[in-house]
Amino acid sequence: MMQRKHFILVPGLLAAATIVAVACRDFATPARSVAPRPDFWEVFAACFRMTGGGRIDKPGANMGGAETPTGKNTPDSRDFATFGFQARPTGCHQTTGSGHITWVEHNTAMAVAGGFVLHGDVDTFEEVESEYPPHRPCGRFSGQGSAKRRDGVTEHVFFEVHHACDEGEPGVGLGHDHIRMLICRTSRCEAEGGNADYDRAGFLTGGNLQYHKLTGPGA
Amino acid sequence: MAAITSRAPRWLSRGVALGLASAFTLLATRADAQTGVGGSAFGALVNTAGVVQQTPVAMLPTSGGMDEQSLDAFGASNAVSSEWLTALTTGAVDDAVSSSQSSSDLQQVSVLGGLISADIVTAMAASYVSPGGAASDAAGSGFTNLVVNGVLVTTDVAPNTRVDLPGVGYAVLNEQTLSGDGVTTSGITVNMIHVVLQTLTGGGCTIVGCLPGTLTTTGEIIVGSANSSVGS
Repeated sequence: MMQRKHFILVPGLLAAATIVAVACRDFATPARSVAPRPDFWEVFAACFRMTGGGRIDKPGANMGGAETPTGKNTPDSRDFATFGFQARPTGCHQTTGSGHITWVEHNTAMAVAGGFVLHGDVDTFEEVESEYPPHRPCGRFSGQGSAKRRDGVTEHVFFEVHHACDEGEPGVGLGHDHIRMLICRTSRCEAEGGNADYDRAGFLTGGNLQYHKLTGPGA
Repeated sequence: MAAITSRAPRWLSRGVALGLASAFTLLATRADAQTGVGGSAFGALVNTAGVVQQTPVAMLPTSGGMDEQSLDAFGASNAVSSEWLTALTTGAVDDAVSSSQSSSDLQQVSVLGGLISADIVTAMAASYVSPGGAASDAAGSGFTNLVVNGVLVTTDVAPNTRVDLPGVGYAVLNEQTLSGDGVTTSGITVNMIHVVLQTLTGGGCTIVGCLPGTLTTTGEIIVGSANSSVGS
């Protein structure tokens, strides 16, 4: 069974002792294959930008970029994240990027300080292909930012939106838009988030992700 | 990080005939879909005795982009208190699909001294317009552990649910207002908690009978608001 680390933001030496690897696949969610999908993870230089905002709920997270559409949580659950972003490459087929993202984690159990708000600045932007037919181009972008915990402590972190996929309109619904966020505390996120301290993925339960062709000078 | 590979632009793999057809389609699309977008969100608004407090507020430029405003805590006397308020709006104008999406999140919300409370209030609005039409929705909007008049609400709150607040007025929960023609324009405003404050004036009973009083609106409180719109 795939395991992943929960995002725990604790300063200093306590951090190392409190980053624990726990099994977090929801047992109500049917097991899914996370076999390698080389086509999906191949990275290309991009000639498009993306905007988006919305919400993803658990269950739905799974390593390997596979999401299970499960809909919005019940009204007693805090296990969801909300977000908004704009991101683009510096120019067509350049892998440097620009933009901003705000990511709000509401799950008090996931982070010991009771959730966090990430404000990040985008500095890379690339293209990956969606794992779902017709394999539309998705944005992958990363950068650095600050994650403010509920107790007021702010940490510098690295983030990677592993994929933000616009699968059509509207953004919410079976097989529609999906996103995966990785946050790494000590260095840039490695391939497939091997060093990620936070990893949440899912089909949107609210909002929309939008693909936009680059236009104008440099496109 | 995986190696970067380049590849031919997608349009090269298509036929010339398709390209010519697309050129005409694009011209038509540009006229249809490249329209303005609108978006806004705020955490809380208190309007009492002519004094308005509204914060935090995010506003989307009509050309698109992103705005985000957040606040650690907000309190307006006994009207509203909340922590971790985030207002977000993003959007873009595009030849193919123009879109706008906004959200407002608040935690540990208490309205009117706990008459209404919730662990989390989330308002979410999304709109898009494409050559195929325009639409908006409030998917993702909701409450976590909502309590109204001392009663825990254990199911999702249906849009535009009215709840009486004795001695205060009434509240509309998950208030949704749609706009636009659904073809070239569309918009939606979501107010998760909208309290209308009322007072009873006049009326009363005498020896000859009773006269009804008049309910007067004296203010309003809105918690968790998101708006999105496309088209012009």
